Amino acid sequence: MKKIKSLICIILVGLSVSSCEDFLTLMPLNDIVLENFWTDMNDVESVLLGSYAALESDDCAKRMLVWGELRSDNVIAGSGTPESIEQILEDDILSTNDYVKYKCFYDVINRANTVLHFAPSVQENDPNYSYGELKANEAEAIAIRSMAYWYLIRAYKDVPYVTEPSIDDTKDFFIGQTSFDTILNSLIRDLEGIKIYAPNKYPTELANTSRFTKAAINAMLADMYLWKGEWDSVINRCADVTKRKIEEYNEDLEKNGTACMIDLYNGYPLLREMFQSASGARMGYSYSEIFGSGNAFETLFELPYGSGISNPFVGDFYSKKELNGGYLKGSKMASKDIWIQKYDGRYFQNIRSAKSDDDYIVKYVYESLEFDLTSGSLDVTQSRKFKHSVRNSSEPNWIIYRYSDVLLMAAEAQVLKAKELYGESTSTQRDSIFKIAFNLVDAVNRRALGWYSGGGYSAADYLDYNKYAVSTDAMEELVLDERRRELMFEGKRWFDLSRKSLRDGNTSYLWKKIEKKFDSSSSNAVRIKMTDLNALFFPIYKDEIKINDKLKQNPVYVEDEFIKKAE
Amino acid sequence: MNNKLFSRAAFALAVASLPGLLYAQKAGDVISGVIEDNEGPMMMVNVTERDAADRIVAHAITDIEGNFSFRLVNPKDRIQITYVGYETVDIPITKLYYEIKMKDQGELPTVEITAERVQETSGLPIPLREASNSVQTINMEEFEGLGITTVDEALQGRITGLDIVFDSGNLGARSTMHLRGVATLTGDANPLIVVDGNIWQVDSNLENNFDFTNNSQDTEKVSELLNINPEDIASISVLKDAAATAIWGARGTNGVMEIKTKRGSRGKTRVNYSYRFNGTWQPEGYQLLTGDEYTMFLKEAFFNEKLNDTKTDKIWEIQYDESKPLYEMYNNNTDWVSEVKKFGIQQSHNVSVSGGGDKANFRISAGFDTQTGSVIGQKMNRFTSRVAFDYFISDRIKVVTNFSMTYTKNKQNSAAISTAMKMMPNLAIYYEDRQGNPTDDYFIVPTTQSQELPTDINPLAEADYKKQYSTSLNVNPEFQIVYNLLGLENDQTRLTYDARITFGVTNSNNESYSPSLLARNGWSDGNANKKTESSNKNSSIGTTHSLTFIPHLKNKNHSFMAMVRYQLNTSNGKSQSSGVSKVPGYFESTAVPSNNPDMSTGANRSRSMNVTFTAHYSYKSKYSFDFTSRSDGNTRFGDASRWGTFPAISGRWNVSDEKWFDGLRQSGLLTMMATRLSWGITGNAPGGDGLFYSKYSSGKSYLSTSTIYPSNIRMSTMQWEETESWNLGFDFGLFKDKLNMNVDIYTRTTTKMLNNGYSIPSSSGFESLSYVNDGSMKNEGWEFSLNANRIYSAKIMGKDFNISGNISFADNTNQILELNPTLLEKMNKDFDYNNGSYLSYVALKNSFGSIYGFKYLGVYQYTEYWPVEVPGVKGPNAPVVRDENGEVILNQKGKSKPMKFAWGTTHELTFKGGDAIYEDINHDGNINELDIVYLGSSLPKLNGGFSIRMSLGRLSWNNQFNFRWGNKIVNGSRMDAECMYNTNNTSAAINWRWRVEGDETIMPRALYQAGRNYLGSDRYVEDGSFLRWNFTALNYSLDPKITKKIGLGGVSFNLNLNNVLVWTKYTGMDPEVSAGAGSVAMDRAQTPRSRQVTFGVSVQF
Repeated sequence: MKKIKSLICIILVGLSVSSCEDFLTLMPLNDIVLENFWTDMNDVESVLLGSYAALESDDCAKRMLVWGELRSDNVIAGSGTPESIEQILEDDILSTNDYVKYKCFYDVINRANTVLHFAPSVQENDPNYSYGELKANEAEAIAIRSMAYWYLIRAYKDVPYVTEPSIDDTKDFFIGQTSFDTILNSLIRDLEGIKIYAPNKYPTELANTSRFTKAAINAMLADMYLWKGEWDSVINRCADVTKRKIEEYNEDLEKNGTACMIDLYNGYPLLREMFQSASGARMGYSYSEIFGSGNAFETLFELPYGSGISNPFVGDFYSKKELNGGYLKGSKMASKDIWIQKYDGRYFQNIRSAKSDDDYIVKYVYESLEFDLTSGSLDVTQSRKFKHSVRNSSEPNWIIYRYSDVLLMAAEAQVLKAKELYGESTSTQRDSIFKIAFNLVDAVNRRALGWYSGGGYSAADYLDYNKYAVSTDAMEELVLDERRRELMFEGKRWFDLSRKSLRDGNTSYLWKKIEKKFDSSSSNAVRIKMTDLNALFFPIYKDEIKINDKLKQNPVYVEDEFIKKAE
Repeated sequence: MNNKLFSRAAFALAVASLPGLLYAQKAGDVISGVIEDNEGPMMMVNVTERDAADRIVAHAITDIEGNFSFRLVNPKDRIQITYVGYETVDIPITKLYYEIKMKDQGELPTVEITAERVQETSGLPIPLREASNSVQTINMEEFEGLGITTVDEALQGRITGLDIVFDSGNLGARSTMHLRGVATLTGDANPLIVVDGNIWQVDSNLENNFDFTNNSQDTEKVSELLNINPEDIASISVLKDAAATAIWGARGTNGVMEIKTKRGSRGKTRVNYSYRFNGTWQPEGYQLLTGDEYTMFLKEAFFNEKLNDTKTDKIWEIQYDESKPLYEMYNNNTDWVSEVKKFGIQQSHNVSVSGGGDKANFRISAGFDTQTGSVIGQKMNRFTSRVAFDYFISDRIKVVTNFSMTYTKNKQNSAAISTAMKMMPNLAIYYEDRQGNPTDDYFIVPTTQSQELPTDINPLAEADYKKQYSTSLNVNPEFQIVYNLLGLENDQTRLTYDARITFGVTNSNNESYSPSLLARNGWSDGNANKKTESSNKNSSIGTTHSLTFIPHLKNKNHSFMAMVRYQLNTSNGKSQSSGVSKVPGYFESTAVPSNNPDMSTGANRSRSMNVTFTAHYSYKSKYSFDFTSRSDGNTRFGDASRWGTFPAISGRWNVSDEKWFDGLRQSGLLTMMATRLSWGITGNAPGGDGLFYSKYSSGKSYLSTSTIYPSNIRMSTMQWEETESWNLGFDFGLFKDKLNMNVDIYTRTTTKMLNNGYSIPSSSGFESLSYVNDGSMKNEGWEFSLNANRIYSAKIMGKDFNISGNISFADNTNQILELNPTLLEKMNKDFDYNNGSYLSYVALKNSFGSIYGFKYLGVYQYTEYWPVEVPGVKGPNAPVVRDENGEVILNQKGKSKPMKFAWGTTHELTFKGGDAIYEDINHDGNINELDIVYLGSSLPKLNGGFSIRMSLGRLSWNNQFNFRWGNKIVNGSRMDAECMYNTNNTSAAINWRWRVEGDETIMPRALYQAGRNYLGSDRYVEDGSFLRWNFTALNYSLDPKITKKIGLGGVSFNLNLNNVLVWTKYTGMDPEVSAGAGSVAMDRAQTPRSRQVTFGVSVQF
């Protein structure tokens, strides 16, 4: 009887479940769910950092390099190059190529959108979360999202533009593309609107270069204006960055005196290249700071690797620790043609020729450098008293914006402003603008040549203003060449060439530069393809087109659909 | 005598000492008496005091003198006196002492009891002749004595419309069962298994979350039916149409298999013991190459690739070079397949004890099987136990408890045959000394072996040293109480309340240990001394309350019954796995200190509840109607569509009950006829819990700070997948019901189909939605079955001889009616230019399972074309372009054009002599996707089975056949065995290959990692029709007169053969291959089904 009683008891417990809905509501055991999330400011911070982490993911970071560098005149195939990479190097890009998948950037965008969607409600509920902190977080989220779109539109031109997070399946995911100009305008509008809330600096030193500061946002804005063709805006945003950099320089000077290793080059603060090593005056200081140590004075935004998160491409694409070849190597144009000055240390920062043919890419691979350029010409076979240390290839940071980039953007804008205002006719007004532009280029160039306050080579070794001031084309070319020397293998060159082509309305400049990459048999086909400005951009991945009929394929890549499946 | 006197005296004393003898009885009084029959006092008679509810409140048994006494509980109660074979005496309590004379039952007039057979399902007790749904029931007596481990083995070909395919012949391997086609694109389409009214749940969801990938090759899905001993089964009913499965709601969408287990019954205690001996062996497979043939083949394959010797020269293992230290290990002719085969033995012992009386029925059974496979290194032990106990507290209240337990330990070695088929036949099994004599150590191919050659580990060494166990313990206790609230008899209005609570506990554990001996790369190998352990714990609790109402209507023409049922289920699961490797020495557990520990855990839980209403109405038992509606609530859905309601309606008309039918019936030809029509909707929930939650996961750290990201898109619009089915059935009784015929026609239309992994534009930040409701699919078909009961009877040699049999066949077609174009696109893959791949093409409104490929026309005899054959040099059969008339197309210079494959793509290739000829359908000189044509359908035109049972006296002979006709199978295993593309051992058929210019053959040349000689073509598409003699069983029981003499209740012997013969043109291992929804039937059989012989003896005490 006792058993029966307890049995009845159990049945009654079963019956007494008060509400069916409560009974049938079960939270997953293995996940955090929305219902329990977004309660305090730490949640916002976690997802915000998650957005950065997505930007830093292997897929995104690799594409920053592949999209920005591979089709340019800087690189050719090295050893063990996968087919997908080789196709891009040879401009034989199919819509099935793995590197034209863009999902990873939309992952960044979705995470940032999620922060923007939920952060305001957190601020309402968490008394410790101030309005200012909310706005600062929003500024970061918008900057992250803008950067993802910025890569996308430079790679694909028109892409779907999404500003709402994908939370549930009621959302319409099947959307078409928004035009390059519309997206660019709204990115600029967003950034201009929010940038005042962005912090000048973060509590931790590392975050200053790895999270968006006001200066980093200004650099990105300058880049955008440069594509848009608003020269004054470029100049102003660059001036904002300079202003901030001078402040920092002054702070540093106050703290360290002359030992700060930063000099004013034509009034622009840059890290010194020449330094006193144990064995005398040597070059290589700024390289070691910027690309070796990371988190450098000049860096505005970079992706931090190391401490468990590894750089996905330096070891594979550039050189490994053993300094042998990766998927890529420097092209002849990169290793010979553009190094016009014998004291230009940047050559040694970029390329190492083990044998005459092996132009291994070493930027990011060396951790620190020191070499002596006082004797001889730019011949690598000569002894330079070259010393280097190499690091694990998974550790280098990946720099997206640094100050010398900004200076050269300003220079480009100045030249084009002069061209727009005064055209090809020489005038003192044009000359004064050229002078500003030249000084910007010269600042970057002088630093690379080892000039420092109180030292350097003779004036004859630096750039000669009169040689370039003859025409706007010569000035423009100077700026672009200097950009190429300064930012080689940093994922910038193809975008520079694209920008120039779009500005010119033709690809003749670009073709002149990349022509030598192709052998005679394929060169004609590529040249014809390249006359279409759409060929500057990548195709949309085939599966994306397949599942979403609102997406339009880049016309250059539309395939003949005559092959139908057998029925 | 003394005894008698003493007890009488004691009694008298007791009576005398009682005060108030003459007063009315009261509680505490001693009631006593003596019970006798015609022959004197009766011993051991039950005397009970019963209350108004017929509960026993006091009890006594008469002694040797027929005396009894007990203390009265309530004077309002009655005394009931019962004894087997005597009429029960039931009298009110009016006095303290009784003298009662019992009457023998034989003296009573016989009472005729009519009982109708009712449906053996867990719904309403509907008389069979009023059943309007489609249910097929089989009693297990039909299969008694068969050498089966799980019931599905016996059901194959026996249930019309139920397609059972065994995935492999390995011990404990699971079968795939599809009832009336596959009506869903996601999840498991096997029917729901119900045991004694409870869902037999082995939660597969947990296993999905769980990472078995480390040893997926060795782990097969183990059959959940393994946990039910066939000896305990009383009957199996398969519920086919929506009207039948409606009470199972969303769970029954793939059909329901209801298993009833045996229970005890009133009567003498019966003890039954049975023993079975079962021998199994592997059928003959492909003839493979010998070592000498193999090395020759490899030399050609390496030479043909570039037409030079450089590659061959580097591979010393096929050169028979005596100077090499391992020469003796590579100069053999080993038949690996026969080395790994063996004669498998199964022995099983089953004991059951059953019986019952007035108060209780019981059955206790226990079984033990020990089984070794027909492949080395397989062993399975199983222990099952089941207790069924019914206790009648009173007429109104019954308590039932059931308990079952199964323990299985399975040592697996599923890859042995497939490895053996690939092994190099010139390899030695054991290390051999300089004279070629084998030592005791197994030979494992060294890492220094040429990299082109296969690196599989010696399967004999693996069977000996690798340990791979899976054990499971399954315990299912159940308590039930049945309370009759109103009437007890058939002519009273009855209301029955039935409550039950069921517990299910499943613990399973998988372990494996692979010693460093088996790791080719020594200690750097991840598999060196690798130990893995994983365990799953699952528990579930279910409660059910049912209220059945059967009113007694005054007008006998009407009958009605209804039931309301409320069910609640919860289940919880936990899993964990751990692994270590590269730890020196032998060890038993993953707890050893290690540098490479690997650990993961998981948990899940789910709940569901449902309310079912079902009603049955019948007019004169001629017209019957049923209605069922079930509402299911499930934690797999969010608030919006949490509850799904699934109704079903059905009706039956017993045509033969009409007056006008009498004439027909009297003719004796058509004696019974009925028609049934049913309609219903069933639902299907997605696999996986918590899909409607927006989830956040932790991602990679940034700036050394941990980060979090949204990891899914929540499914807030997800709905139940619904299947609407119609069933029209006809039942006929022919020749005085000697023949029963059933015909069923059905359609099942699935709408709001659940598609998982639905691709969405990645601009959402995600690549797919976990589920989307889209499209519809239709299964339609018919079923026919004919049962002949004692169709022929005669007397032979003074003994009864009769023949019974049945035949059934069925057909099912499956097609997609509508589907989002992108989903359709996803199912239809592009031609990938690869060898061995067939295109499956799913088109709207077309049946599934069509096979597409090239047409194979043989082998090019020559590389160079010449109109007239120059033997050994050039000839007309060469790879050149021809027009529609077969004429060679020549260019302006009179030269022929070479035949190309995939011209203009990166897969381009020019055919040469010895390459496969594919028909250039469009005569464009280019073999590409435009030359792919329809090659046949994977779906059979007809499938079914038949059985014949003959009995002569106590000897019976039972035969079961099943067949399939008109389907095509892609013989993938033959393709693998004939491809000559890699260095695995191949079928001996390739000895007919093309070797030199001018060879006439249909087998292309050997080409290592090159060529397109085994593109998906009709070369491997074979007719899959077959007729299988599933089993033949002889059963003989000894004459009861003889067994009585030796003190036994009964003895029977049986002998049977399983998988006796297969008549087929199919050249593969087993023509039984089924196509899933949207794919072609591809035979990748590794371990084929074994043949078995079973001998059994059953003894009843």
